[in-house]
Amino acid sequence: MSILSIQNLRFAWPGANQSTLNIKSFSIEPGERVLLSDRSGSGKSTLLSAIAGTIEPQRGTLSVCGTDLTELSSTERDRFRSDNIGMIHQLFNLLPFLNALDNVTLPCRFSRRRQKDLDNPRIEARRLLSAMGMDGEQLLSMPVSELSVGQQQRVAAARALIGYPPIILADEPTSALDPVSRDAFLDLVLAECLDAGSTLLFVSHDPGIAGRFDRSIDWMTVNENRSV
Amino acid sequence: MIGLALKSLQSRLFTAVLTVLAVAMSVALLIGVERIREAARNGFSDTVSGIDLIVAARGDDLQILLATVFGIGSTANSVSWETYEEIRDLPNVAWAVPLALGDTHAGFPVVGTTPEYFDHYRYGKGRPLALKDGQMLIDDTDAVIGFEVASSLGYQVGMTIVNAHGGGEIETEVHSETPFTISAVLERTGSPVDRMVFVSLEGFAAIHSEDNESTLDPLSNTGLDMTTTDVDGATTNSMDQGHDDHEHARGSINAIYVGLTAPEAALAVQRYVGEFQAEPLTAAMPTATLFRLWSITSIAEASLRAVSAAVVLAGLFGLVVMFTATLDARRREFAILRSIGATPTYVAGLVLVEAMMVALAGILIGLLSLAVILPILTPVFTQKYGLTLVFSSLSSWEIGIIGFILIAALVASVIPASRVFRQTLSDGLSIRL
Repeated sequence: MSILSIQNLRFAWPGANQSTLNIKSFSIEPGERVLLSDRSGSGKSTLLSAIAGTIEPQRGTLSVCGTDLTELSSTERDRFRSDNIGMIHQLFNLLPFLNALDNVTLPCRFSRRRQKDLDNPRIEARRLLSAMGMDGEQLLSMPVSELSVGQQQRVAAARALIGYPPIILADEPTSALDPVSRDAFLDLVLAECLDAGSTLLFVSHDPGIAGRFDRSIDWMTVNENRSV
Repeated sequence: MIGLALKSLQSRLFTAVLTVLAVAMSVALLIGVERIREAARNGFSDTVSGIDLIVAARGDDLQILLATVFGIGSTANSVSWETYEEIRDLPNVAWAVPLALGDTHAGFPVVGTTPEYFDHYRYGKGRPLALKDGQMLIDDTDAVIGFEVASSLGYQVGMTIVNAHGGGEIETEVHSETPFTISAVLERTGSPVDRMVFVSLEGFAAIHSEDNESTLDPLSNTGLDMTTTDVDGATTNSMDQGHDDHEHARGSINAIYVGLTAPEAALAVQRYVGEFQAEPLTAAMPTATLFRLWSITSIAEASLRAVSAAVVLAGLFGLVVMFTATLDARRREFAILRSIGATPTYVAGLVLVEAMMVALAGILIGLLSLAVILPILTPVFTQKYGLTLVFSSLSSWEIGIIGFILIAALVASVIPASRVFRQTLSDGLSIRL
């Protein structure tokens, strides 16, 4: 069974007269690491929001891990997201007033499942950060706003991965990184997903990274709405 | 949630501290005004605590109280010595102290009385008058002066002073021929006694022994001056040989402080005095009369309260402004929280909790600063106004006020919180600006 399955999905932002999402059929198998690429274009972030359950599609079905999100209430979707989805955003996706460790353990505050599966979130956070190459008490306890952009993205990845969520959504997390940091970052994220058995849906406009994924899909072929 | 709210506030320490201070100042002002108001009332009640009734010529209770206890204004008329003796000898009367009023010394009221005054007057929580210096003597030419009289005029025991006639700030007439020798200075009481000069009834009468013919007092010729008219009744009573034939003889008094054997007798004695045959009299109950004073001053108190309430409102407004103004800057923070599973309710709740923390911190700091400031201010207030400010426990009314401020802060912060709620719902994970 597909871990992500989309049928006839339509979504339009309130007030817009054209739908942003218009997807006939799209699915991802468990454990797949998929790149969704597009040189330019809109709607990819909207798709991630729909999968994460923070927006409600007007039509179609969207099931994640066998659960049809369109049939859940918004509170149920929030709980579903905290239990099943790890997200990495483009930039600035950490709470600047918390240190690296507190940022990474943050999802465990909201997910009872992640809390249950982890004996001690802080130990797991240290392990993840260490795997991301972030060691040292000082580095982990300083406010994240004082970290470099590359370090911040690694903290964000660790936060997405904590508690083994089945699906990791990444919204252009490498766009602010130079090629060397980008490759290092990708290595870490891909390896951790493999380790945890997490499915990865990675959105990027960078064509140079396509070869590192199990599958690379052009967004233009998924979304039938071709508005530019 | 509380830890997160605290850290978020910490990251905006400057604005948060300013808002806390605004709330703190408004709370301190509100409670401070309340304390001063209460202190004023208590100070007044304490001042009259030892006196059960004040008898004077028929007139207004409040006027009698102000003239006798506080040395403000004057009574309508004088009371004869026979009346004094009759009231003193009533079965329910434990003691009666005669008072002669109407003169000032350098702006301080001069009171002619008997030594019993010092035995029966009570201030504060029932404390008797104490001597700072000298001996409690009021013979013919002795004067006992209040603490403030001594300190502001630089008087000491043994010095000789002269008196003025007439109750105004301006000394209309200087009685240079009747000097008094200061026999004692009283300890500070924080009551109107601090501002009074006490002489014997004979001494009070003697003030006018020389200069009745050449008076400069504009009232004395019109028959309106209460200290020089209507006084011939008891001149023969005078024990002071030197002033037998003068208007201010022992027979001329203006009021009587009455202490009763039992407080329940007050109404009976009051009625008896009200129906007094020989002359029209009024017996004022000091504590009851004070309530009349409060009903007059309550308008001023209410406006004072209204002003401090407005300041609290401004403080709360600052709270709302602070939170609303920072919302846009925090949209990313809220979106991040949403992306890891926080519900819009949680995010809005976070804003509410932060607002409550600011309000609570403001209230606590306000109360703490009052606890620090009031003891510092107390000596000033005691000296200037005779008020004793206390910062003990909070009264139930003040706890109510604080509760109200908290609730108002909660209600006010619903405005930014509901905005956050709507924002996070529409923003989703990507902030669309």
